[in-house]
Amino acid sequence: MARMKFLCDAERCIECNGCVTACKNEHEVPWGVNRRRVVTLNDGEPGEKSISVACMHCTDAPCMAVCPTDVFYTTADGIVLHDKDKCIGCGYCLYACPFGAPQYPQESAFGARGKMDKCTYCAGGPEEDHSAAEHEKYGRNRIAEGKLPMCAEMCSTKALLAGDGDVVSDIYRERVLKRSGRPQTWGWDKAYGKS
Amino acid sequence: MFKKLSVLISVVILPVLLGGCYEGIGFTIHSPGNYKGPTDPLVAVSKTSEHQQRLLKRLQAVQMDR
Repeated sequence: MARMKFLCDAERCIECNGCVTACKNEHEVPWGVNRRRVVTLNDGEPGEKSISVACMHCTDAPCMAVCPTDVFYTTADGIVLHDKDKCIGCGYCLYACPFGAPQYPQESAFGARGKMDKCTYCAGGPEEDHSAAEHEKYGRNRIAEGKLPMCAEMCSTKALLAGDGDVVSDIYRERVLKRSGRPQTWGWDKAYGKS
Repeated sequence: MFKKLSVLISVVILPVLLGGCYEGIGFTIHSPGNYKGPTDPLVAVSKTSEHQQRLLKRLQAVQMDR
């Protein structure tokens, strides 16, 4: 069984924010919420690196473990989804998530939290596929249409990859071999710094 | 007449009124990671090999390096 994953190739990402725009446009994401963000490390310095970050659809998702109302569920291919009707907006998932994926739209003038919103891997929610209710709450369900997430399919440099984790890692491995060098996304220097 | 009315109140009206104050004792026990909401039709679809193949074809068509 495939496991759906995202991978952002930091060597290719040019910080164009096309993925952010594609996501917002595809799902009509509310004002103030970005399901995907581009983070730049060492911004402005030579050798800066950018990566596109959203929900990573963790295999052992910490948001799922801490949610007091059990709003999270996973599909057979490992996509982590949530039910907005059961969400109480407590924010536990935000504290648990290492990527800052869960977000809350401001619901009133006094900033009360709305229902949690996060990347759905373009797979909608528990409502009937392609229904108006699903579209209103979660955006478009591209996975049910046999398509992959819009952010990855729109990426002009193919830095952002989405799909079966095994195939995605094969694509990345091939790139690394072609670049003929050790990828700087992992290794001793990345973990412990240059000595 | 008064006796009949009091019997009517105690037998018919009082239980109805008190019944309105009844609070359901059914509750949902929290069990982490155990989703209890409505089933997403996509969960069943995602198990099928046709769906897996469609997504794999899409990945190879759209995101592979050329």
